[in-house]
Amino acid sequence: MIWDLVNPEGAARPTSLTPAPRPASLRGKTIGLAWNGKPGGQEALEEIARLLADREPGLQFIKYWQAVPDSVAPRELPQATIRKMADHHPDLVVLSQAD
Amino acid sequence: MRDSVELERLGVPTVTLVTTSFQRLARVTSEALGMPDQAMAVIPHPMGGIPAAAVRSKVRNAFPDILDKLTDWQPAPTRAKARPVPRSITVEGSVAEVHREFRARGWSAGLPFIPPTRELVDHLLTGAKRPRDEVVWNGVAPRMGILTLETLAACAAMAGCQPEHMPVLLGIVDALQEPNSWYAHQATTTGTESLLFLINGPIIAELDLAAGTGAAGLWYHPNAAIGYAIGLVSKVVGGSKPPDQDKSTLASPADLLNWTIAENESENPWTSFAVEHGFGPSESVVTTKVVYPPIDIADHQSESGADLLHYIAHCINQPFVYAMRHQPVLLALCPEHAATLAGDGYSKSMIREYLWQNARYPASVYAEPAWQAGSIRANDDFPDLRYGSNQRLPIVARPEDIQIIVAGGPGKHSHFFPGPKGIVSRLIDSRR
Repeated sequence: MIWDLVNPEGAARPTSLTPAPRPASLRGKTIGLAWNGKPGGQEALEEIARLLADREPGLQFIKYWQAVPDSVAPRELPQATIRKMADHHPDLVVLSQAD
Repeated sequence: MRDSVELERLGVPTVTLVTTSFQRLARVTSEALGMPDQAMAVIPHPMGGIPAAAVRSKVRNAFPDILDKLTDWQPAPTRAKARPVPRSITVEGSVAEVHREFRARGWSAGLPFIPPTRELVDHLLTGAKRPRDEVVWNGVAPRMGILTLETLAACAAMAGCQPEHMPVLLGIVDALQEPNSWYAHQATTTGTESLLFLINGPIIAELDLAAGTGAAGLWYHPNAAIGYAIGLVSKVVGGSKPPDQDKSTLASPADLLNWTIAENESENPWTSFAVEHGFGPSESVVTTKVVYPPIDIADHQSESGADLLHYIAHCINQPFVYAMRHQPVLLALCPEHAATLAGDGYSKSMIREYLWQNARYPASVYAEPAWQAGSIRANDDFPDLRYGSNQRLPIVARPEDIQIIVAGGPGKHSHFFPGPKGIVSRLIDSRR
């Protein structure tokens, strides 16, 4: 028997985005630290900040769990929250997706 | 990963810390979101539930990679992937061959399904008055699959749905696209989460949806077929499959088949869930809710509403680390328990207030990291709450977060679905 069957999977969104370019150096930069609220994540980000500060004194850090409390959530953030984070004008953001 | 992609869209370079166990999910998600190459720094799993010193040690070991991702890293050249997808396939052989082919393509879990032949899918499409190519969900997570009406009908056909079920399916699909549905979270989380679909209104009788004995037990065709159809959308179109995309630690049968029940409106002594939430009694409504497996509240002894509520409170007073957020839990009262409560003058509001006040557990159950994470935090009701508090905490932030329905048949078993997460209601429009 020959079966003519409709594909139940369909296509996936065919977009292609290129990540934003990194800065040439970290000197004088502002680094955002974004934490989703899961245990261990904040500690990891604080340690990264310490290591970066040791390496590059003068770095500024935005701890988003303080600056944008809505950013601490175990699921994807609303666009408005992402914009609030971007409005702090970080040069880079490190996100913890700890689980 | 979605958050980092969105920041990158706004021109903010990111580095995402991902543990080894979630590396594949992170890559798949990032690719599905259109950013196949993203700066990720991989850290040995786990990051949670270990001493802070261990977390710091893992970060120090990964720091050279983190530094590289912050500065020197460049993404691999990518180009838009136009992925031609056949609208249909041809299989030669018996129905067993069809099952083997679908299983090999990842379109089936190996459970029985009805082959979605062209004729059958065309028949399902008579239940929706829209073009077959219309996109009804542009990006089913985590694969970001494009769900057309035809693809939905194919999943519905496989699950054994009939054309008259299509408006319900479309209502569910519409609801799940709301951010407050928590769909994307549910599709990939480590938690034992699945979806519950609650139906209210005249469509219950029109489709002979089960609301009484065994309503959720998958023996009733409309209920089972609707849940299975959405399950196939999640798995096949959305790609929410273990172990790489669906990270549910153990999962449950509801992960694929969902919970589909009609509210037992004829034995509900109060207003229905839909009417309570602003819909008209003649309107048909479907509500989606992310749920954890339920607790069976087996109370055969309480003769008064007060005794019954006391018992229920002690059955459901379990901690949940995100309980202080304004998200709902679901209490499905069986008709006999509902009658006992209503007979003693309890309204839904009174039940909510009682349970919020009395279904409590000690704050001390949470270890210090939960407090540091801010998951448990002081609020207007608990302004002095802090680590070391002796206070007893409610199961949800406010009484109104306890949603109450009446479901099931004769017997003294109510059910509590914990896990305060996403709820969305939609009208079922048979004209769609």
